[in-house]
Amino acid sequence: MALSPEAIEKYIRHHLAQAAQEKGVTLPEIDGQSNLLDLGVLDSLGFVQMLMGLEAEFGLEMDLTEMDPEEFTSLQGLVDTALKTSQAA
Amino acid sequence: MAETHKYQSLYEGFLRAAAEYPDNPALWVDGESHTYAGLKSYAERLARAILAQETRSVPLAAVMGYRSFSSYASVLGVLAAGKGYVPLNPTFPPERLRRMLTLSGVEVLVASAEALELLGQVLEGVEGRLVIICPDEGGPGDLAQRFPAHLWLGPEVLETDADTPAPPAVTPGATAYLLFTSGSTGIPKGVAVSQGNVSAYLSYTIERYQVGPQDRLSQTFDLTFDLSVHDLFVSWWSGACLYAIPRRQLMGPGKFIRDHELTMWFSVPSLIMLMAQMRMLKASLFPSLRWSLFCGEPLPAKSAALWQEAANKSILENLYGPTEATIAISNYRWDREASPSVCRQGVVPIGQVFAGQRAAVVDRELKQVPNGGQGELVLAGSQVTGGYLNNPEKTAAQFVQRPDDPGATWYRTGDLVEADENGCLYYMGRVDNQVQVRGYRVELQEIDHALREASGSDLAVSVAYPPDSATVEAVYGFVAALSAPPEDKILAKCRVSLPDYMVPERVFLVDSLPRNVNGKIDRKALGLKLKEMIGGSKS
Repeated sequence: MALSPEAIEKYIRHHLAQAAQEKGVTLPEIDGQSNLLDLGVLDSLGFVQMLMGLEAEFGLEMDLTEMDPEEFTSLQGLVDTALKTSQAA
Repeated sequence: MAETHKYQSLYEGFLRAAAEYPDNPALWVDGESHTYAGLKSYAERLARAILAQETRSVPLAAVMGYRSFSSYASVLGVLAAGKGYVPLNPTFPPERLRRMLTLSGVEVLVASAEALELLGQVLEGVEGRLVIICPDEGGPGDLAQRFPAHLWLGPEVLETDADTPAPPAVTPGATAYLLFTSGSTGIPKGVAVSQGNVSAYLSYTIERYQVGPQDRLSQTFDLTFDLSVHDLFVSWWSGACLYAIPRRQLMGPGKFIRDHELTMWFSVPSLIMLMAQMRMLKASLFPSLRWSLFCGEPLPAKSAALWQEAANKSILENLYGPTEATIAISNYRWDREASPSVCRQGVVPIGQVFAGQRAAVVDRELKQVPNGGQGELVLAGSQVTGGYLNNPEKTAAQFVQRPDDPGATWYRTGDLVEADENGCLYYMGRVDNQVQVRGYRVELQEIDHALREASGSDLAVSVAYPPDSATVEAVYGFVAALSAPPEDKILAKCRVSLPDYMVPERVFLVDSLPRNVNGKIDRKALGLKLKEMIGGSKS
């Protein structure tokens, strides 16, 4: 899939909606600053699964080694991280 | 071997370090450093408030908070008042917290600001009168009006100029902390760990790792997990600094370790398995670490090897120990060359019991099995606790005398182990994870191992169906992996390494595996999930 901020955000939102449905909970409103671990939908492992799905979908390999999880666990932060990776590649 | 350590209470150990290094940083939390002198002053003021306000001199007091300055300092305050602490975790459900509060029988509760919202829910239905100290800015807020039966105190109680009373003498038999482990009946069991128990652990550990004022220790474990006692008091007995890793950073603490140049790492293996999945473990990434310690669940050899390369200058040890035997009681030192071939079922050994403690591998009659045989691990020595709070029945079942060793009290761990000719212990799983499939005795851990190998993921676990039954119809696998092979490929590989009766009936690829409150993979919850998934068609 072509890489654009919209496409990445759409992927994340879709994944969250699915995870919420599987868990049988209602997905709260999400804006760019929302931390995706605080939604009551994903635990840390679930988050990593989403991250890996995102990488597979868009053919990315994000380097998180030097990053503070605070930076890539918000919706906007994750979109930015993914975009940054594709530009570096 | 005889024990040589000199007893001191948790607070005495802290006081000794505070006297020697008053201006050294003792605690880093929420972006700020706090000195030993600062912590000591806070602890003493809180202790005075507790002693002035209590009416019943209960030997325990509760602390409810999460990774905040006051939550850590309140632990010291309770100890400075000569009491043991009961940690209440604001991430737990209110019902469970209410049970813990009631079972512990405390009169005094110290609640940090981040815990107050939940405290309101916990107090619904709590009878009797508590003294509740809210030491953070803002005090109790509207809780005081909502729950007028209790005595509410705000941060003003800490602003006293009264003389510092000498800390009450605390005997080795007094409770240092009370923790709850999950009981099979669903009612948590209280484990009272004595000052003597924990003094034995700390003396051994600080000596072994030569911890000193130059050290910076990770704080990964919640206060309700007994491994946190290592974090706090190995630091505070040594003049070292404790680094409280913020909650969100726990899922990938690499940058934190580098930024703060931590020297001792201690966590559950799951945490590094997660980092490995995110490719966060690269060679020579953590040069500041001197020690890398893991405990709390089986350590996969693959994860250990990856971490060893990332923390290339550190010595890596796998620790083992139940809460009932105080934090950890055995250790195994990882060796890059030798260890990979020593591991059984792809899991790092749990090693030898600490000098001064005792272990035996026994059969169902509690008789020692010959070397190399499998059996239940039983433990004795100064780290073994006195039993469960107000539960003589359960205590009698788990804390026993052995026919070939009368006199000592042995704790039955429920863990299945093997010992090699050198006495090195290998964790093989839980005794009650032994199930009968079509008449064969099966260790679920062995199937876990095959699943890990077949799927390439360390996050793989097997569950027997029906759950909670010794004789089962079949075993199912759950695998959480980014790029796991499809089910039929995993099963095909399992068929190569496992006898037919051990091959899982099905393997489910899932997004995540449920964790219990301490972050360990929760086989019981998976059993319930399995029941939901296939129960309809099976019953």
